Amino acid sequence: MKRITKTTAIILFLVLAGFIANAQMPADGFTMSKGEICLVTDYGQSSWKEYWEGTRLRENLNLGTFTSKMIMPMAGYGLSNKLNLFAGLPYISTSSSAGQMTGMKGWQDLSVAAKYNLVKKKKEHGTFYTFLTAGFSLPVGNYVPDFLPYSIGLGAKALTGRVVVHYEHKSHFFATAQTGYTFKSNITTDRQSYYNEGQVNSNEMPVPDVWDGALRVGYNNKRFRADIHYNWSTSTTGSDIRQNDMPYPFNKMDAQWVGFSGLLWIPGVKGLAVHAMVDQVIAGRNVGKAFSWGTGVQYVFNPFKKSAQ
Amino acid sequence: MKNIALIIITLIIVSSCSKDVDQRAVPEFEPVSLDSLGGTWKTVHLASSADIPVSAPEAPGSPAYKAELDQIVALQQSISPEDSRIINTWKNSGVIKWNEVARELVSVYNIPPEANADGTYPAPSAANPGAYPKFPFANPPYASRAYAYLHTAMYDALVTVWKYKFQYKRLSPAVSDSRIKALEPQQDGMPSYPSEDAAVAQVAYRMLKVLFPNDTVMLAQMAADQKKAKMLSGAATASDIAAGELIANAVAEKALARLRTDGMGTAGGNPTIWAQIEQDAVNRGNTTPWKSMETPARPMMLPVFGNVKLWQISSTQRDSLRPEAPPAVGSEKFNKELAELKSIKRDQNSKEWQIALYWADGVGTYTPPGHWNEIAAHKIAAEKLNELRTARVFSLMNMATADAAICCWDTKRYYYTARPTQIDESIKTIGLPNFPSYTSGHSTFSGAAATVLGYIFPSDKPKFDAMALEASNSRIYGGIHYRADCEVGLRCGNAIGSFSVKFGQKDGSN
Repeated sequence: MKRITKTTAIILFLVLAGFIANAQMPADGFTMSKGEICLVTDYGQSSWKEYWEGTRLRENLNLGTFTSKMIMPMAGYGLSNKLNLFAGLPYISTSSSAGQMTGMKGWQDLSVAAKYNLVKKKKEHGTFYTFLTAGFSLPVGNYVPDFLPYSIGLGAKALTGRVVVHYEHKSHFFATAQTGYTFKSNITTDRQSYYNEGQVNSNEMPVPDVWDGALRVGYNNKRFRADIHYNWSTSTTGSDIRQNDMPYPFNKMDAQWVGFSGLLWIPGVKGLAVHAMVDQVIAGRNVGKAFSWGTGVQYVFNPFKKSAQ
Repeated sequence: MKNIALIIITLIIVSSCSKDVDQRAVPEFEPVSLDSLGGTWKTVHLASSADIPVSAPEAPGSPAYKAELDQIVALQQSISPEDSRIINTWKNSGVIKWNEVARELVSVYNIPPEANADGTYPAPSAANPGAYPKFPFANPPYASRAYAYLHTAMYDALVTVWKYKFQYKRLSPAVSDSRIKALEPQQDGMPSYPSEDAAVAQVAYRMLKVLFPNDTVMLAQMAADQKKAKMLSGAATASDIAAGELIANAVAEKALARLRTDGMGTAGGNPTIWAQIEQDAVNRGNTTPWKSMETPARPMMLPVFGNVKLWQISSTQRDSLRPEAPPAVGSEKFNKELAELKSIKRDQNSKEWQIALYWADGVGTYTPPGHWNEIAAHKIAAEKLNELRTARVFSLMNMATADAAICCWDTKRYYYTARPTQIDESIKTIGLPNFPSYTSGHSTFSGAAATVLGYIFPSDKPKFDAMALEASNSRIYGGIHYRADCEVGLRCGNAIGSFSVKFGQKDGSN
């Protein structure tokens, strides 16, 4: 059986709040075999000096440069050759170089996802795959969602569905296209009222749903993988930040970003790899114009293989 | 493909999870008392309700009145969905409804102007209200003043309305003419001439369009809707409405004359005054005068607001209410209070954090005086007060919070004390206000409001006092005030509120 190389890398997508850790594994075109376990630890950071207030790009001398840092342990498991399971939980801290507002830190949202290989079609020139992914995430830490941009997350429970189409040419070049929709729950805030295109007397706050997607092309063989990618993400509802106002979880947060990532299998240590990525936000609305980078190690092994044989 | 369809269907089902939120609404209620002697109550702007003469209405059997009733009969024969909407919108307390409108307007305009490219800050201009930064910047002092003008004028108008209601005792259209249906609940025995709703609508329109001039069209529409709703619902005839408007216009003239000359226009000061304020504080022994922590440095918010005309306190009394000097920077007490601020963790959710955010009422909100107005509105509904008593609650409380703003800003200017973060930059905050520390505005507002509400609703006095204490402490938890700022501010607020209470005790309503 053709052995498909495993992968992971994370996209560090910055909203004003900080990272939304978007585990790459559920959204990529690579799979793990039955019984395989993949353990990953990533470190990433993201910073911006300018942000879009609505559609206006501006800086804010009372923020200076805003920085989010993240450590994310993740795990993947091949329940079968067709069905893989993933889980991850990031620890995030935020700060700014100017101003008097307090930075925040803590464990953010536990995310769990399942990826199913619906279609696999071998052709003379290469192989087509289609995957379906479903996942959810829940805040686990004791963090404050309504203190943007310093909040480490938006506090909403989320449910994601995703379709991934992947093609590997026999020359080892590959291309992936994926898109997903994330439903988000309303949140409860300490604040008792707020302005969201009208006075709202409530401690309940809506968080917009998100529609996102990506295109990725790269090269993948037994020793390394490299790709370039374009991602977009848009809130399906939400209002703009008012001029010189604070941002809120109900804002419409849109972004497009480009970047590249790479993965290198360590020679001599079976299953061990290092990876790294960089991303630059190139367009957005109510988000920071962030530059992000991340790096991590991953180890893939199959503890059940011996007994199975 | 079946699987994809299944997933899409599942997602659509989940997506029916609404983005709507449950809001706190003031419950509907029917007033329990008439207060037929309300016309004798002591007024704020007028010498008495007799200042405004209102002639007797046309007699019940007169052709003129019959024509007015016929007009309502005709209106009720074709109630449109829009008619039903405005009847429903205005069927409850109009005073509370306009209080909510004022709070929303404050939320719209409570955002500090963005700095100019050259490092200066633009100021809103009443003469050109639509240009950035839009007029007004509805910060807490401005908001307290707006709520006070709106509600004192409403109160005076309603005292006058009550005088003539019970002098002329004209029955409401729905009571006097069997052809007319009451399309909203009407209080038994409440005369309709002059219309209290017309008075409230017209006062609100006249006052708010000066305080929030960009919204004149919306305000005019709302006022017209309220008046029309009362004719549609069989609560008031055209002459009831006209008499209410007449009273409202006369009160508004007086209130606006006061507003135009109360000193707000110069409360922002100028660079010479700003320098003088700092020098005066240094001369009084302040070794570490306040500095703006913003970049670029922003002038203190309304440094001369302490000279704005007071409501229930004389300027001499204001000076005697000004508290003792705060603990000196570097003194033992000062260092202890600074250490307390540093000991509070602010990077995770905690009881302290929740309290800090619950009472923050910062940029983009209805401000702390607005928060107390919402608290008052719910209490009024629970007690089922009539429009006159409702107006009295808001009038007394908002005079107290406006006086609290003036006295507190006077103290801030006088001592000009540094914020904790200016002394120790490691003290991070929930957002640092751009004016001196001593005394705490939140504490002063809350002490004043709780004192008035505790007087009017004595059974809830402990609850209001506890809320005020929590609001006061919230500023310590937020990292923006020393304990002395809050404790002294709360004490001053209580004292300031007692002046409004004295007015209430002698206004004839008891």
